[in-house]
Amino acid sequence: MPRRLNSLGWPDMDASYLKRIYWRISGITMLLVILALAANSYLSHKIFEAELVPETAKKAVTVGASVSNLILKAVSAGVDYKALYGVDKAFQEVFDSNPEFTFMAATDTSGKILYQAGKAPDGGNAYFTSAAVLARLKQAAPSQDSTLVGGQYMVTLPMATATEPLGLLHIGIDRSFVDRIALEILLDILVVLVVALFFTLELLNFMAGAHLEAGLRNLSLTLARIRERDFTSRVRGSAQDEIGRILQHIDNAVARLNARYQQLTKDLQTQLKSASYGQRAELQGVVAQWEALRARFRFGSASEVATGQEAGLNQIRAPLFVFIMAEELTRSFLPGYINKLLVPIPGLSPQVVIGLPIVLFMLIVALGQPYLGGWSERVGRRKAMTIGALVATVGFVATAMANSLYDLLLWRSLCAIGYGMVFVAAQGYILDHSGPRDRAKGFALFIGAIMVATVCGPSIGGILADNIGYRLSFAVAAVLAALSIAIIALLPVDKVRTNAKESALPSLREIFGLLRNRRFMTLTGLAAIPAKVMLTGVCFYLVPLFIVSIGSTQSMAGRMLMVYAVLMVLIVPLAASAADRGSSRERLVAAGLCISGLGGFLLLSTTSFWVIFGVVFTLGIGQALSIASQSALVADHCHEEIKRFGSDAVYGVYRLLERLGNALGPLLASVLVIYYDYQGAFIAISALVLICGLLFALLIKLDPPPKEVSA
Amino acid sequence: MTRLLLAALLLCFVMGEVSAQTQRPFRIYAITFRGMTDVEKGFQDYFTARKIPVEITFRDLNRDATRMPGFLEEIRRTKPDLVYTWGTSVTLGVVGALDKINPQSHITDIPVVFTLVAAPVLAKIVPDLKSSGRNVTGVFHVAPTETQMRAMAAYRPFKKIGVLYSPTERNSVVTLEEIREVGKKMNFTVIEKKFQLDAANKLIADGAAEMVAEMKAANAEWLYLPPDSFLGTQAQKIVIPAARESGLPTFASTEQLMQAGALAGLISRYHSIGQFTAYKAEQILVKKTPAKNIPVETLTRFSFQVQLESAIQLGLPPPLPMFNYADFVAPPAPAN
Amino acid sequence: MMKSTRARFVIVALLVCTFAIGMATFLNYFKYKATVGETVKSRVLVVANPIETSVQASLALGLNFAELGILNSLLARQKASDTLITGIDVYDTAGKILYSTDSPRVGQQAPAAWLEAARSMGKKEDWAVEEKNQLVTGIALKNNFDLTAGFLAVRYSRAYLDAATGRVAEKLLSTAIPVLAVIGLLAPLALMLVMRRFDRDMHAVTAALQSDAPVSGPFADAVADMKKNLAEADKGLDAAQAELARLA
Repeated sequence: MPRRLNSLGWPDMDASYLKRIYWRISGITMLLVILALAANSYLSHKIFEAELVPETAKKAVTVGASVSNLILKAVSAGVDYKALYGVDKAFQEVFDSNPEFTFMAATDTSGKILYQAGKAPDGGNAYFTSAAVLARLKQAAPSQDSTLVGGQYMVTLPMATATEPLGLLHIGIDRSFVDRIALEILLDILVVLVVALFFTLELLNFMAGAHLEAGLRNLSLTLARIRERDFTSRVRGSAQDEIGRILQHIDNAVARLNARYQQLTKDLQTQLKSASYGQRAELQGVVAQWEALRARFRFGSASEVATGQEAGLNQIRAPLFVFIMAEELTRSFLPGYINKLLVPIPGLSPQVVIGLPIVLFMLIVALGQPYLGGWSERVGRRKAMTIGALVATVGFVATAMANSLYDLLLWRSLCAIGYGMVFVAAQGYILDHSGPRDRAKGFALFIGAIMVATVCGPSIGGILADNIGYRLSFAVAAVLAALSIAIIALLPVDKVRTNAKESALPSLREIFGLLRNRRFMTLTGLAAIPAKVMLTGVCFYLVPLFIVSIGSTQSMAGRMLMVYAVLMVLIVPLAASAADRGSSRERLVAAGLCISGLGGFLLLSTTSFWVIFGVVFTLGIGQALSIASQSALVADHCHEEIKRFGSDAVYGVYRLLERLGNALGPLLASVLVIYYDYQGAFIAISALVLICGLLFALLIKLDPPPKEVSA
Repeated sequence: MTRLLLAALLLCFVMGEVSAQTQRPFRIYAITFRGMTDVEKGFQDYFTARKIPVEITFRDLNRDATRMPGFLEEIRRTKPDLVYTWGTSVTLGVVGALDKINPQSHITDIPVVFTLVAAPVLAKIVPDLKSSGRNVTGVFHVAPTETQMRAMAAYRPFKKIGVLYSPTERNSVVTLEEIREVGKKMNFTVIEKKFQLDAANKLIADGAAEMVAEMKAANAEWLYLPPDSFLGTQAQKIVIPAARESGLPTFASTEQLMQAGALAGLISRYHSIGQFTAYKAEQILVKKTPAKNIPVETLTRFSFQVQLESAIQLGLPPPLPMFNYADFVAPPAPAN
Repeated sequence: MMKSTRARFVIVALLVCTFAIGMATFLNYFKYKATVGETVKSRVLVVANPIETSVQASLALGLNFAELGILNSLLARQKASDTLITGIDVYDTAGKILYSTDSPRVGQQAPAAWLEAARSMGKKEDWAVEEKNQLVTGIALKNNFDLTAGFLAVRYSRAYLDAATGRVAEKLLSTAIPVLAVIGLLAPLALMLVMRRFDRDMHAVTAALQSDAPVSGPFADAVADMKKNLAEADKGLDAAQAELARLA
């Protein structure tokens, strides 16, 4: 009976068994997080109330003094205190500029209310006429104490002319103003929750995952092997945990069998050697039994040593995640930072200049990748990643301390080179540590780490930038990049291949050959490039700048980018499995492009951030639908080209063009902003993508892929 | 050739240096309508404060239109850098109504900055406030009608106001139309009363006091005094005393009417108007902006003036917030 | 369940909770800092209102901004009205201080940062600058046609705000740490609950290996098969060995 393995190289049951464990642990961890956050919010609310109420009372005294001065001014001008007009208007003006004040009243010396505005507290009259309150008429300076009356903290000031007291001025501070302040961080707390969930999954994978996964895998492989009567013994590490003990137990049983088998073999040989002819004939029965055992079971030791390849593959995830997170952190506030460092460059409009560092970054990553692949192979993946992370760390530190746009460009280039190095080396690492069988798993892991980083990075980055400023936020990115160096150091040392072959750079001939190819360009020019242009132009350039320009915050920009990333995480696997189950990839790509193109038209209505949210939402759905199918379509549609140029060259050129689209996005967006403003730029890019989507659908329909004759 | 060019460049450079050092004062030719006012003071103060050297030649029309041709001739002869005109009549005399420009007499080649024109569009000095389309810009001084109505309502809300005006003054007729429009929006009605005309079709004050009393009887809560020339001459003697007698508060649209004794008014300080006019002149003289590119504007903040004593006597003290920003003015010296 | 792996799960839960509580504390701290900063700033600016009104009235009357005689005494009066305020300056658009509660400052140049902040205030009504030893906020003083004549700057104590935020930071930390400690105690318990099933499955396998008890759980079939094979091999070996022994 052959072992049935799924794509992960696992017996099916055990893979889902592990997943169940993960989800349960994540669930309970999230429960703990929510519990902790709730307790923390409750306690910090108490602190806020204790600290903010006295401070607000002091402000009430100052504001009250200015109102009281106004009343005195009117009285000294000859208006009778009891015949003042429009006092409630003056109170209302105070509420307008100080929403935490919800009630104001002026009383006469007996505590009777003459003028009031706002929400009167329950039990107010009893308070206003109480002897303790009326005693304040005689106070020279107002007291900064407040008294809780009917849900409002009441601050009381005496009013008096030079000759006689007039009455008291009361200002009520709504107790719930602290709730409002606490609620203002609710959205950020939600972001923290989402990020915490992804962190949990990521950390489980990093901390416990490899260990548990390897254990379970070993167990199920061992069980499966013995099921097939394979008793060959394996070399295994020490076993201290439960699975280890179980394995030990099985191994012992297997070892005992092997020993017995060897004993039997030896005994049989000895007896056969010393046996007489007649005895030998009798022994033939035992020999037959021995041979039957040998045929039925496999004894001895296996030549194949359980490799750590699988674990090695998994190990790449953590450093990659941390490193990508450093760069993703800056997405939501980089444009704002550039805006701050802006120096006018003659002949270039500021919009284009803001886009420049982003364009440069993307350009370096795009053009550097083909060269960095060969380089990382020569120096070794681990070393290449270390160098890359180091370069990026320096880049982040310097970015945090940048003086002007000019040196910023240089520092961002360093970050780009570092990013390119780590990205390419990590890809290479996965190629090195996976066979054809688990390559797909390797790349799923790679993309997974990046996606989770895009969920966590921009949102946390936005929160950081809003609170501790751009420069310190870049410092945090630097710390993350430095941390990734430490985790890279944990990777297994890889053998440096001195005779590494130059990785194949696409030659100019191949590039031009493909650029002239209609099928290839339909896929690249109408689908891949527009998708990337929209991603970088809208998400990395327009959204952060526009959100801040309409008076919102970097945190809001971060939240938008997080929504985009979460949609990707949720929908990409669905779209991919839909494509695997036979949904037309062409249809998915065309639909994805059109959907992402439609979002921008929402801006024709208004420009509130809800509309931006809608734009990002549709963009996320559109991109998620098409992204998995896009590159697969190249293989579907370009058989001839692949036959002619080779798969590496075709995909090399495809990736290159796609990444150039990344660089083109902010550039195009910035130019559009000059002529059509933010709204216009959103709409223009969306329209462009929509048109590309429609053209793509049309051309792909006209030119269906050659049907493969199935074997 | 190259050398010549170089020399010319050098010359320009040297001349630029010289003019920066010993800047020739800008020459301004100013025509007033009825002698010097605070507007001219504000105009001059602005240049002093900004250290802009100016040399102003003042000429007064003294309400006598026959003097105008002499001034125009003098402008042509002395070629000043800028002409300043006070009021609608002077301005029209210098630049001409839009449909009656005579290049022989009217000034077209020297920038003209007008001031204290109540309604420059109505007077056909400019086609619209954004640009005059010619070598003219300036400042008007009457707050927009709606702003005035809202200011009045801020003092005391009302459902009915009375307006006394001259049917022969186009300016007043238009203002009245605007008040009716605002009334629809702000939900109030207007009691309109016209000054009477004599046999020679000249405005007379007869019956004005009675009309004011009638308005009060018809429950008017305010008497609004529009920027009306004839009303201006009769306000202090007849109209305002009549209103005071019947207990009707009066609201002035100009400083002149306020000085005639109105209870309250949203007016432009003449001094500020003069400063703003000088600011426009600065744009033309120093910043070299063509006059037609400079919009015609009024102040962004007006003075809310109140005669506090009368207000308290009437039992209508200003609302409390107004004590923060209102100007309390003394009652006028008794007329005559 | 394996001890080390369980410990790792607890560590994961604690790390994530530390992150969440850390972020929440961070957000709370900065929210408090911003709120209290805004509260104090607006309180200080209330003191500036009468000065603004006075300057505007004087400008409307035609007084020169540089010659507002009454302003110095008004500044002194307003400064005295709030002990937090360390000084008030009024300077023109070029940055020259014209009036101040500290007479030696008159005639000096206002710091470039103030001018920069005031100029880039845009649509906002006030500007603010944080300095090492003091906080500064201010407004633009505009004339009747919205031309900025100059700026007003109120300097106030930074130590006061720093003390308040420091106090709150301490309090927030002293709540976050106990919360974390409680979570630290809860986490192993909570995880144990979740992991019980895993433990049960593993125990089932162990038990099945050590005795003849029938196996249950997700690994039942595999274990049963394995046991059958082991037993079968044992039996085969037994038989061969016995036969060998009989013949020896």
